[in-house]
Amino acid sequence: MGAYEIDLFNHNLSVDPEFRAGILAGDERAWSSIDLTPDERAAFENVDVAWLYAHGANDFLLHNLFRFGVGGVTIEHYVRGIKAHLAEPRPGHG
Amino acid sequence: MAEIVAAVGVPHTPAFPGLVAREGPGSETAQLYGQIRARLDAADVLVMFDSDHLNTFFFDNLPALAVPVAASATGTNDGTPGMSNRTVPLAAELGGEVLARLTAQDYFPARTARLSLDHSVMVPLHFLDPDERRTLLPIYLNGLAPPLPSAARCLALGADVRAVVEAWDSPLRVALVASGSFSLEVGGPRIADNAIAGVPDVEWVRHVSQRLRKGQTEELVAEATTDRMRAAGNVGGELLNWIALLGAVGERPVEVLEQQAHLGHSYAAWTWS
Repeated sequence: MGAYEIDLFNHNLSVDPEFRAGILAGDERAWSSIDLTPDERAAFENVDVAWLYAHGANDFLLHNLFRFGVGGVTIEHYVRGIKAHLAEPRPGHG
Repeated sequence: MAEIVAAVGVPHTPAFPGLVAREGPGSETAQLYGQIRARLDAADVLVMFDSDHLNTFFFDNLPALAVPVAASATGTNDGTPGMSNRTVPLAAELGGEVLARLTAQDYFPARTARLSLDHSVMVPLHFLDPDERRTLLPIYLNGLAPPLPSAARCLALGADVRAVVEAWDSPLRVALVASGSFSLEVGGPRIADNAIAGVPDVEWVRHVSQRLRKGQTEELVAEATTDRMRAAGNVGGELLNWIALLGAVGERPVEVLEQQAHLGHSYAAWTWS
């Protein structure tokens, strides 16, 4: 539904062990506990860091995807995604 | 009345407990924390200026300034590696005094009656209070999610918190602590090419440390705009915790000042007698 839900997903990964375990296990109850759009859910499932950041994700919270290994994300994948925006700052975020 | 016995500043890197467990007490990080811990022997209570990392608080209700009045809190709440969870006793009475007196002085602190603690509090506690014998009062300043409070207001806050502590009708001895780094990017575009964090502005770390060494607080406050701190990383606003501490420290000279500039950190202690 927007940046709030994206950030809530990443926040819950950090502070809610049950949510985190559910996401890592592919538990549909965990995935559907946050009101994500289909595009947002796809971005999380694919760990599309560049897309999430472009759509307003807080970058500090975003690192929880790597910290907890969502989708088996590697550091190379994460760095490539987050640095995709170095050349062109995301709209509205300076 | 309560007595202030020390003022110190340290970083709170969540990997440090695990690192020191692996490398032992002779490691650089263990030694640096040890230097600071030695200044706290007389303290019963730690009042810690801290910036929560969107773990204790979230965007549904994110205070610029928050003061706990709870009797205890559990941490870590954010899965920090190498640390077991524990319940930390909080200085609830002092929290109530700080909340009331700051509000009377035209601050707008949030009252926090229930909370848990993330690594930004628990990592300093891990190293500074290994015997787990002290009570804690974290005072939260938003250092991560703009709009950030101004450096000038944080400086004034530190001085006013000091006055509240010194007026507290208690026999306890209090140490003031700043938690945070000067330059650090976590998870954002300016991380290193092979790590989840990076230090975008090592020169800023050295510059801030020089300001501390020379006691140039006014100059530092003038420089520490939100844009300048954020240029040093997405958690660069943690400098506000140090500036609040400087407000409490006043004209006292820094006595210990060590850097891990390549990591964005400094460790400091001020003479207090």
